[in-house]
Amino acid sequence: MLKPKTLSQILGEANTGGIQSTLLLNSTGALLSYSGKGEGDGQVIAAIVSNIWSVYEESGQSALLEDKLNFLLLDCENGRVCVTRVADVLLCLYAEPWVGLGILKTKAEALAQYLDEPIHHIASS
Amino acid sequence: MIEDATSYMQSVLESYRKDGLHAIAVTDRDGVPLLKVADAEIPEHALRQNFLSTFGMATDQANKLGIGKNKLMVFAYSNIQIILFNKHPLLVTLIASVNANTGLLLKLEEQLHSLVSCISSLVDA
Amino acid sequence: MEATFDNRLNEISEAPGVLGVLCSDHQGLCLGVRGKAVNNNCGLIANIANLVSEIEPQNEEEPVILLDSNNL
Repeated sequence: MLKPKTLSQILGEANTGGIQSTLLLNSTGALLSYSGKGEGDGQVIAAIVSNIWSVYEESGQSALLEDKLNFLLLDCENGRVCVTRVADVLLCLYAEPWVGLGILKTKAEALAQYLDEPIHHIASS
Repeated sequence: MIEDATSYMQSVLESYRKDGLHAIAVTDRDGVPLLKVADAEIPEHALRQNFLSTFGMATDQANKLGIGKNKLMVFAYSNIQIILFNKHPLLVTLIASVNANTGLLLKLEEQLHSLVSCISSLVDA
Repeated sequence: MEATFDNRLNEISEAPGVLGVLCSDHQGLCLGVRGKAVNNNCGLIANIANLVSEIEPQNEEEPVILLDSNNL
């Protein structure tokens, strides 16, 4: 069984090279685990990101006939956000604006792959 | 004027079709298309207003992340990627195949900039 | 997480005569940049690399591409 503290430590592994925080959230926007600066911000990010994700997953199905959304990159003036899916939860990395979109996406993919099995395990237990 | 703009966008689309670009749309915040060009490979509903209108909402939400104004978003589905440039008060939507060179398509922002600011001034007036 | 990658990038950028280094994924998204390189050129660089690998599609080795310019 994955311990909450261990989970947050694993998320923290990604917080280098301009990544400010790493979050796991469920599809309703509740924060499941967090590592990084200011957890209050984490809750706001989780709520907004899960909302955008669910709207686009749904409209992707109806308008694009796409089964699922795999990645979301957001670039704002003072920061960048990358979101991807792990099992049935969302993984979100929040970075400084100078972080390359490629490294941001690659780190999210690597972490998602690493967490896939343990999170599947939680979901099915 | 609109004819010129459309034929310019058509020429941009033609030159990037080999790179996987399928459609370009310039819309207002409510998703009303002011200009759109597309090839035959995109799903029928992808350029309808009720899909395009969700992008205005997503940009507004992203502006609330606390990391400044949203500049762009990339949504990657299983077969399609959507790139969205926030050119307030307008939005530019690119629809491309998921394997297309995202970085190259991001460069299109510069190429479309003067056209979009020209249309913006017409919308404001 | 990316310390090894960063170190390698630093090593390359500090090599004699190197003015800049740009590392892109195959979708033209920037993995790292050092020195005089410009990160929003990743799309173009990846595009050139993808195009050139089509010259010999049966060759499994990635091509090495040399662009010569007087302006650097």
